[in-house]
Amino acid sequence: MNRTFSKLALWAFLALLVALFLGYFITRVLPDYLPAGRAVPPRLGDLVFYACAAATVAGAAGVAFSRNIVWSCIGLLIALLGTAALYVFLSADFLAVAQLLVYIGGVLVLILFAVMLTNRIGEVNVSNQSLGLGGGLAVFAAVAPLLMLVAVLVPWPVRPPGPMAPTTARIGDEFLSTWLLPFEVASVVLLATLVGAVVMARKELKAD
Amino acid sequence: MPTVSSQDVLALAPVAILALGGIALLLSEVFLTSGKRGYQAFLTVLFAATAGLTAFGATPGKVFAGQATADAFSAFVTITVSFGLALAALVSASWLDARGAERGEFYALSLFAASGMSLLGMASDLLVAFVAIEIMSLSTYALAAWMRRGKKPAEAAFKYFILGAFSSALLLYGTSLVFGATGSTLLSDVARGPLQAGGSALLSAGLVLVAAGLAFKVAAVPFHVWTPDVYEGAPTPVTAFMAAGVKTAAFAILARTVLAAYAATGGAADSAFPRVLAVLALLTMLVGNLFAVPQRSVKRMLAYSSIAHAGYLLLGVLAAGLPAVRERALSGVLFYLASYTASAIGAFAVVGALESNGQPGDEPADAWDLERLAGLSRRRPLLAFAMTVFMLSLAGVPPTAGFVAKLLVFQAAVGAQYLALAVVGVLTSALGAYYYLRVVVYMYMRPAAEGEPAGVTSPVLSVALAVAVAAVVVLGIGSEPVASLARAAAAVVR
Repeated sequence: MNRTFSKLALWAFLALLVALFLGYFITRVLPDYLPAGRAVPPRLGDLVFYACAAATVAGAAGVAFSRNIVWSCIGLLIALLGTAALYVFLSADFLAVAQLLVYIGGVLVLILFAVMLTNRIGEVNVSNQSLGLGGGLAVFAAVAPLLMLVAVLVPWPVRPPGPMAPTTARIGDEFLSTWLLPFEVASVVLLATLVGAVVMARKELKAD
Repeated sequence: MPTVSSQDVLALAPVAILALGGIALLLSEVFLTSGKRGYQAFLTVLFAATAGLTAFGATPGKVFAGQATADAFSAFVTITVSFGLALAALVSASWLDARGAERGEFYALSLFAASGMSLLGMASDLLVAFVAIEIMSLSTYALAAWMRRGKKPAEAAFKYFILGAFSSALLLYGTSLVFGATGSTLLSDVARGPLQAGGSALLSAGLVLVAAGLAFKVAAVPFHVWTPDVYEGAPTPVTAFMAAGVKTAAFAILARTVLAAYAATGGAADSAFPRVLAVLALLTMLVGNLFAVPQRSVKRMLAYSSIAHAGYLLLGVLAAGLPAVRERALSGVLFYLASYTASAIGAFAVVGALESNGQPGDEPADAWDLERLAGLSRRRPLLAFAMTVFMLSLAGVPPTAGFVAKLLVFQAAVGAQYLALAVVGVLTSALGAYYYLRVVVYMYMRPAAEGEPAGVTSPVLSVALAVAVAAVVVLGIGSEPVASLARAAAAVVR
């Protein structure tokens, strides 16, 4: 009884999300493309952008809502690919490729390996029931309208996309001049992470 | 293109010394010829002391185009963190040695964490702050997983990691929104407000997310749920270091960020920010103290007490919003952090000395039960005395450091017209006295249970406890030198 109810609530919530998105799309985005509202016909690039954005959101939802970790991984793949595509739209070529190499080529493959090598990971038994669907919905209801409101209200500075030019050299320059401090300190982060990972993966300590 | 001068590099010397110390400790394991590791804790203390002294002598000024600030404030934070690191290293040496788990990596990770904390005290740029927080957090996640005997440590480390990563994500998301609104991550630019009209909603949303991320780190209610489990499950010396060091560093950046947020959202007078912070402080004081009362486990009680202390500290940060009392409030917060460092590490050290050696799989449910302290005054009079001093300090009883700290913070709160909150603070402190003094009652007035072990002590632990007791008493009786240092440190923060 309880289970069916929570399933129903989940689906109602998803339906609400889709309805909200559609409502936003129809009232805010679509008028710009209708013949009356806009002199120029919709560009192909805009449509591709929305497709990529929708894929990203759908992928992210898949990560969150799938109960099977392999499907979550596939969802993550779609979300990360969509983000990489969004970087391309912002003429951030280096970032897009780094996203592909690091996240999809590295992190995602690592996760899949971890899933393969781990026993019985499919049967997830959620032990912490204290903050289930109800709590999540409450937090969502508190935060999401706020962020949506901000997204709609704020007059975003709109700029035409920059020319597709290589950005790698500029990023390198910035790293070694303006952002030298965080860039160098990030090496300590990596070192601490490596040592920490080894500490966690080692066998239980015994006196030697 | 900005150029890097020698001043820029020198100002970061304490951070560099701590990080290099971590590398030295890592290498010490490579060249180890015998199983003797006693020197590692002393090396850690040495590096901590060097870093503290270097911070003391640093030339003040903005470095790296304002991304970090070396001033009396950052020096105070670095010295407090180094002091905490040195104390925790001595406590760890005794605790780990008794369990055959002393390794160079433990001290290396502690030193890395301390270098992140020290950098966090200097950070005046949200991006630098984020990287510093990551150094601090990633090292402490690993430290929390150092011992995996029984179920609790694994659960603690996992919870800490997941919730810590979540809070970092919040912080980063908030930073990106702030960047969108102000075009910069420098706190000095953020303080100027949004770039264009209508951007204030975006800026507020970003600042709220940044504040939520930081509230996770300082364990303010309602972002505190991880604290009791993590503090209870982590190895006791690590808990001590987490409670003291992470709190100090996180409050340092929180203070700088909140001041920038006040300025950005229209000054302390009509900004909504103080109200949000006031609610957080109120909830934190109430929940921390109320939940600490029924705890039978001393370690868990200290975890809730750490939440309560975060509430008092938040009250100080809140009062700092008013320019008239800013210096008093911030110096109160700094003094509070120094006194809490000594008292909390001392209290956790005693708890750690009394818990069982924890053979694999041997994790009694009552490992830190109050009963273990019963009759301690007869078995271990000095240990009981030290614990009494720490409990009195945490409760805020004169003539200990905790009393002066609470006095300074409450005075500042009254000065800033937060009368109701100050009254709540005093009342909850009185409630706190109940559960702190209960520990003292158990130690002095209850007979010991049959066959209760005497606990593990060692010369290093005695040194650490003596130093902590001395610090608590000296800060309580002759608080002026440190208080004036704290005032000087608070005066430079605008």
